[in-house]
Amino acid sequence: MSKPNNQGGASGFSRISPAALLFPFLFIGVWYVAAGLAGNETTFPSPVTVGKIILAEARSGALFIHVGATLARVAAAFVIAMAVGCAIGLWMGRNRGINRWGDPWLVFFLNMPALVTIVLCYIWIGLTEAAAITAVAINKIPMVAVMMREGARTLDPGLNDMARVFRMTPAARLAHVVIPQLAPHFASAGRAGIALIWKIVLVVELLGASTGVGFQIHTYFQLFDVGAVLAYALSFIIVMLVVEYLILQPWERHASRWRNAG
Amino acid sequence: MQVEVRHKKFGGAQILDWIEMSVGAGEIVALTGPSGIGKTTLLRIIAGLDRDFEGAVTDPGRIAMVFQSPTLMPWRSAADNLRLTTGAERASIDRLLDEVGLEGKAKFFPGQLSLGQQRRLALARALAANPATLLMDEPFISLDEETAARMRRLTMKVLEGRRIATLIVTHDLVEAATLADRVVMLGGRPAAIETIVPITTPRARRDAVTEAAALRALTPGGAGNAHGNLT
Repeated sequence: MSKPNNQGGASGFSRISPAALLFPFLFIGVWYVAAGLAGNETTFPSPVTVGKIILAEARSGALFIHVGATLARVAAAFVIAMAVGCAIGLWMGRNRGINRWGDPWLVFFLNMPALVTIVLCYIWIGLTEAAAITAVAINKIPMVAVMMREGARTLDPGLNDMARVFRMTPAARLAHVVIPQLAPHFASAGRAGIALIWKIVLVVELLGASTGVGFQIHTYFQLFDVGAVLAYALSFIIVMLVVEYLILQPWERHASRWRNAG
Repeated sequence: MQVEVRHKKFGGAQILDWIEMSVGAGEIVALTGPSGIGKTTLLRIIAGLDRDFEGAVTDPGRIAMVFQSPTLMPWRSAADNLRLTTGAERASIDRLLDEVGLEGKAKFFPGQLSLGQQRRLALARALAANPATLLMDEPFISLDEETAARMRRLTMKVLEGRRIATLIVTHDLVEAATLADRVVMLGGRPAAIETIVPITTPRARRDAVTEAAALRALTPGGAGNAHGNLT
């Protein structure tokens, strides 16, 4: 018989794979060689040039303002999209009638181009932060709903019976019976969501914001400053990698530790 | 606990006919009959999981159930499986885990336990609810005979000191004969009670094989007729 596990206590950092740790060095190496071969610092700057720009932007504080603004929008849109998408998905997954009526709407919004939602939100709501976040959330909600609907359809009826016989409260049922079953679906919806959301946020910023990574890329594109464009894009990718490896993956491991125990 | 079912349909077909039975506190009743007859349906009606029937379940008090599969929350520890479903206190959880032979396993996830241990945990969970009525649906199915026999002894032991009205659904007459004070046999289509056999020998002094053979002789349709004269 196996021992009770205590893997949950291990730090997330120690579990990053060597391949993931080596990745930044490999990436910079490939880039350095490619930039050397291209031989044009204006259109294809080397990692050294871009690194210098990142440092300069960080020192002036501009980098943190813009990355922070984008990150805040991503976080807000992510939370809203996950909450609303989960609610709709669960509702549709558990109720056949709702699903029949809701499905065409879902397909409609699933195929609505992000650009249209953004433009309409800006026109209808105005060039505000609320419009930006709403536009991103509306783009993301249908996808979360579809993924969570699949999850809701696979809920174990036996556990549902058990919860009913033992008169578990709705809150306890949600926390200990429903959510753990949905966790894998939630994680993949979240993973797919966060990557998509930050790309849409850039478009939103490009079209109608005066802060954020998208706004900066727009500005430097007009100045034809490829180095600065790469500097901002790269900074944000680094932030997202940190989120992935230091927050999402450790959380996922913690939530699924019961699977690997024993 | 009393149950009276006048009528139960699934789609167009009537599954259960008029069935009336009661289980007293401290009494163990076995419900047997051929598979597919509606034993589990009757149990689900009593459990309140199926409300689409004509009739009434009277005075069940707090109900606990042991399902065909252990039906544990695999993402919660053994102790949490008891605590979160029944609200039992830490001390009584430890006592119950000891009682079913799972001492020291409180922090284990169900996946780290054997099937026999998972079933004992499911039994402990039912007891943790402190029920007035305990429903058991083929609770020892898919265990090897030795483990099943141990589970039966354990079940009898833990029920001995408690005033719980217990209804066990089983297709196994040995099981019925070992555990029950009364065996209710369902038969026919739609199903109704065919025979009720009281088992008068005190539980501790029973010879399960003999009792089962006697039961088999009474089984309508004579599924067990070949062994019916063992007594």
